Formats: sequence, C-alpha cells, structure tokens
Amino acid sequence: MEKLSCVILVDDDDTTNHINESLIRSLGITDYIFTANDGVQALALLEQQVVVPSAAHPVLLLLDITMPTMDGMAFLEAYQHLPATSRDAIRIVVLTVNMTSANLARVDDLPVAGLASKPLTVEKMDTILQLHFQRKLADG
Amino acid sequence: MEFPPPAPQAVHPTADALFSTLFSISVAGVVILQPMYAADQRTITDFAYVRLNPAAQQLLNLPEAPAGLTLRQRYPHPDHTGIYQFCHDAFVSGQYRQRDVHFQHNDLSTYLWVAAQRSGPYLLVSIADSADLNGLSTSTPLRRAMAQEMQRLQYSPEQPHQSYEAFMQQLAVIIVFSGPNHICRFTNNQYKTLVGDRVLLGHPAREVVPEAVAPAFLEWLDAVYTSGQPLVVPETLAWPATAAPAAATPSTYFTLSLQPMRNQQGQVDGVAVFAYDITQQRNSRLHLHNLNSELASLNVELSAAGRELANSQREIHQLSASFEEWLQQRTQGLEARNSLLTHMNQELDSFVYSASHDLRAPIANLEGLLNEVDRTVPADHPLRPEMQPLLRMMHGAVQRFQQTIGHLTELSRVPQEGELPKTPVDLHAVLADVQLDLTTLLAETNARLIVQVDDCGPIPLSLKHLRSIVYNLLSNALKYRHPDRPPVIRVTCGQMDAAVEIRVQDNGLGLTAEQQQQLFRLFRRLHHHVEGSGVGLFLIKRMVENAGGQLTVQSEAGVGSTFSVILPTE
Repeated sequence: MEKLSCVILVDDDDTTNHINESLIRSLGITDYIFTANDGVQALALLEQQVVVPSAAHPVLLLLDITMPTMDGMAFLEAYQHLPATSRDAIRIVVLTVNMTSANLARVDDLPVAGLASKPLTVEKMDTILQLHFQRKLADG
Repeated sequence: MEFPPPAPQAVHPTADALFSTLFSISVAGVVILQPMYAADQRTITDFAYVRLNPAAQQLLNLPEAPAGLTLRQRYPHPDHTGIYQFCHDAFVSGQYRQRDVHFQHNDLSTYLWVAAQRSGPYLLVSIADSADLNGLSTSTPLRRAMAQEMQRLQYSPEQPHQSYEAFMQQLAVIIVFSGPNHICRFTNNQYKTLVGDRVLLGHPAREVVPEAVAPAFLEWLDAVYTSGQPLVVPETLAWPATAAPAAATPSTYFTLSLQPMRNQQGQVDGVAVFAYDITQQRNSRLHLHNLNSELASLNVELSAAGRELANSQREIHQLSASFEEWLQQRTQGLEARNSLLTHMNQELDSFVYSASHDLRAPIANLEGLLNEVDRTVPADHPLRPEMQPLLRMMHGAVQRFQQTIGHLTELSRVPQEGELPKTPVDLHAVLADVQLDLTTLLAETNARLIVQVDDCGPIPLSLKHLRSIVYNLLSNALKYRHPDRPPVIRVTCGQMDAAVEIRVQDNGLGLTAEQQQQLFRLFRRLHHHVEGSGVGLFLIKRMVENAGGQLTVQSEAGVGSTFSVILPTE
C-alpha cells in the first residue's frame, strides 16, 4: 500500500491520540503522524506545512468535534478559507463519540470527507482508506 | 228706700219689642241660625250662628253673636249628635220639630231638650237642659265629672275613640254618698255590677262595704270628702259576692272616679262614685302584655340565634378566608414547585445528555485500549489461557456500558424530539411495519397476533414515537410470554371522548401488584431470564406523557397483562 504523506490527529484527549497513533503506526499507513489538541494547533500544523501533501501523497486529518479553545466545527469553518491548493490533497474525517443533530446537519456544508465513531478500529481505518484514498490495507 | 215703678202705659208693645225682651229673659236658651247654601243656592250646607240669648250663651258657652261660627264647625263630627241633621230637617220642612239630644262640648256633657222651627230666613232653636227640667240638682258637677272622664278616655292614647263607645254601651256605675258618714243617696241601674246584691240606698258606706275592700274604699271616700279633691283609682276589684265564694265568679275590675259634691255654699257635702268596668281592657292589656313578653323573649331568643348565626357566619367567613389564603399559598407553592421541577427536569435531561456524552469518550478509549491490547499481543508470546476470558469479559462490560450510555442519550433526547411533526399516523401501517421487524421472534415463539384496529382513526402522535411504543409493547408481550402456552397478543383500539385508546393484551407472565408499581421505572427489570435494558417502558411512557397521554397496565400474575395507551385527539 502506498503510504499517505502524513496523518494529523486532532483531539484534546491524549489517550485517544495515543491509541489512534498506535493503531495507525502498527498498520503502516504513514511515516509521519502529528497530533494537535485543538483547532488552533491543527491550523498551525497545516500552515507550517511540515509535510507537503500531494495527490500521490495525500494527508488524512482525523478531527474530534468537542474540544477546548477551537472545537472541530470552528476549525472546519476556518479551514475552508484556506487556499484551495493547500486543501486539495487533505481528507478530513470527523471522529467523534456522537454528533448532535445540529452539527450533523452542518457537516454536509463543510469540507468533511466522512464520519466515524470512536474508537477507531482496524476495520474502520480500512473503510476510510478505501473510501477516501483508494487504498487497501495489506492483509494480515 | 225704693220706689215701685209707675204702672205701665196702656201702649201695646210691638212684636219685635216683645220678642226682644222675651229673647233676653227666657230661661230656655234660644239660638237664631241662618242656613248657608251651596253654589247652586238650593242645597243647604251649614247653619251660621246669628245670635244667642243669655240662657243659650250660658248653656252652650258661646258669645251672643259668634261671628263666623257655624253649626258644623261647632259639631264637626257627622252624626255625633245629629244636631245638624235635626236643624236641616226642621228648616226644610218648615214644621215644628223637637228632640232629646245628648251632646258634649267643652267640659259639659248634656242632655238637652231641643225644639226648632223655621221663621222666614232663620231657624229658631230653643234649648233647655233636660237635667234641669228633671230637677236633679247635682247634675252639673256629675256631668262635669262624667264629661271629664269621657274626655280622658277619648283623648288618652291607649284608649282611642272606641273606649268612649264602649263606655256609652255599658254605662258607668254611679253611686252618690252624702254627709261625713257617706250615706248612700243615689245609685243608677248599673251599680250592682260593682257591689253585687247589696242594698245601698239609705245606708252608710261603712255598713254595706264588704270587709275585703272596706278599709281602702272608706279611706278614699274620706279623703275626697275632707280634701274636696277628686280621686281616681285606676284599678280595683268588684266587691266580693255575698253568697258564692269569690273564686267562683270571674274577677271584674273597675276604675273608680270619686268626685266631691258641693252644696250651695261650696262646701263638700257628698262624694259621687263613678265606676266603670275595665275588665275587658285589662284582659286585653294583660293579654297584650303577655304577648309582649312572649314577643320579648322570642326577640331575645331570636337575637341570640341571630348572634350565633352571625358568629357562625363570621367563623365561616374567617375559615373560608383562611382557606382561600391557604389555597392561594398552596397554589403559589405548587406553581413555584412545579416550575422548579420543570427546571430540574430540564437540568436533569441536559445532565443526562452531557454525562452520557462525556462518558462516551473514555469508554471509547477503553474499547480502543482493549483493541490495542489484542493487537499488540505478540504472536510468539500469546496470552496465558486464563487471561483470554478476562479480556473477553472486559470487552463485554465495555459493550454493555456503551449500550447503557446509548439508552441514556436516547432518553435525554425524548423531550426534544417531542417537538416532532404530528401528522396523524395510521396504526395499521405502523403495526404491519413492526410485525415485519418481529417476524423471527413471532415465528420462534409460535405466537398468534390478533389485530382489531379497524375502528381506529389516525393516531395523533409522531410516526417515530408510535412505532417505538408499538414495538416495545409487542416485543415485551413476546419476550415475557408464559412458558406453558404460546403467546396470544390482541391489539385493539377505541375512540373515547377527545381521545383514542390503544390496547395491547397478552396471555403472558403477568405482573403482581407490586411489580406493576415498579414497571415503568428506569432500568427496572422485573425478569432476568430475558434480555432487556429496563429502558423501553420508561421511554415509551415518557413519549406518551409528553404527548399529553397516559400509559397504564392491568395485569394478573400468571394470566397476562393489558397495556393501555390513551392519547388525546385535541
């Protein structure tokens, strides 16, 4: 499987980030995993362009909704104002325990590739890769 | 020295002169009256006094020519004496008329002999005092006394005019005593009513007055005789009967009036006793008095009762006032408590929501961590066999935890979803849909589902909630079936006043009264042999109640249960 350029984990819960990082690392999806604890840190990571995404090496951003300082919804609002070129190769998947119906309705209008419920599992990860990155985990 | 007048001249005096002299000297009173006419100059309305001779002036106590005075002014009461009618008839007939007339004016009560005849435009009336004619010398003071009594009666406020009438009907007793020993000189016919069968005439009072009344009676006579002052005894008993015992005859009461009688020299030489029967008036008065005291005591009772009533009313008023106050306070308290409870409910809902939400993340992490443990177990160093079931049990616990939190989240959302659009729902369709969901369970349990909801109109509830309710009730009926018989579930419905009722009847395990009380509580599971969260009934009860309806159960342990959902159609 062709690796992703990087995966950015945005969650205020360090345990969640740790579990997800551990899972992703074990699956060998990418060599670069960055974590952010809120929307502001996530935006900063994107601006630093620590890794330049490209069509061949896209970026997966797993986003939690409920966070302090700047929550997931606010991050998405800010994100969609970034230049289209810097957004082209980024896929955002909202990873949350539950969505309020109000947020669910808004997600349709925001640049969200998909939704997944916590916890992230191998199966869910596989589905995300197939749907949004045309990749398939290697068996085993 | 006086000289006799010379012999009169042989000259005939004129008729006028003769009349004039006669008019002046006549011992009989002569009154000249002139008729007064109405406007038609034919009808006589009255007679004016023209002139009275000295005798008439004395008798009637009028001046010689009473200017402006008329007969009717003088005797205003019609038929009082009949004198007017008498004069009228005499004048109109032109004939000589005479009559005996009793009349009264000033303080004189008089029987008069009256004669009248017309003379040209005048009516000549001759009057003589009939008593004088009869020669009773004591008549004037007697009459005066009588008149005074009559007047007293007539004008006393208690004894209006009728007393006078009564007096006239039963004439007073009159007894005249003369001299210091009070020797009886005169009695009238009525006297026996006072003294009984005693013979008085010619006897001194001392000898005839019975012992019972003697001291007082003789004292009165003496008092009047010596003082010359009249005396009135307002009330005294008739003299006791001579033969029969006093008690045998009803008591008769008299008022006595004792008048001194004077001789020519003005010295008192006798006493006249007038007595009139006042028994009837006395009885009436007593009766009246009794009535009055009865009335008074009744009044006392009534006013006591009135006071009690007023007290009771006051008490009732106070009670109702304080009750109202209490009610108002209670209502206010209830309103305050109600809004507090509503607020607390909302708080609780949002607490449940945020708590369930906040719990989800750590649970998700727990699950994730367990997954990682599974994943990171090295293939060459597998877990010890006894650890495998522990991990499995931890997975199960986390799963249950997540389910419960899911239910809690669902619960906290019910009120919010109570605002769902309420396009009335067809119960038939919902039942068919639910039946489809339960196909497997229905088949496995060999259940029979009887649906009789044709009489039922659209159900005023959101489709989502109605579906939940029907699903819960039907699946419960299947889950809690009786082990000895295949389940038979009957769904019926009925229209009520402004409401619709859906009934789900089963022949399952049934519930004891105690169980029925706990049935709708959250997380209350009455049976442990079947899977259940203890949320379903609580949830649907909340849905029904949020829609203003009622969810109730009738059940008998071992026989079955009937759940009833009543929903208002308004």
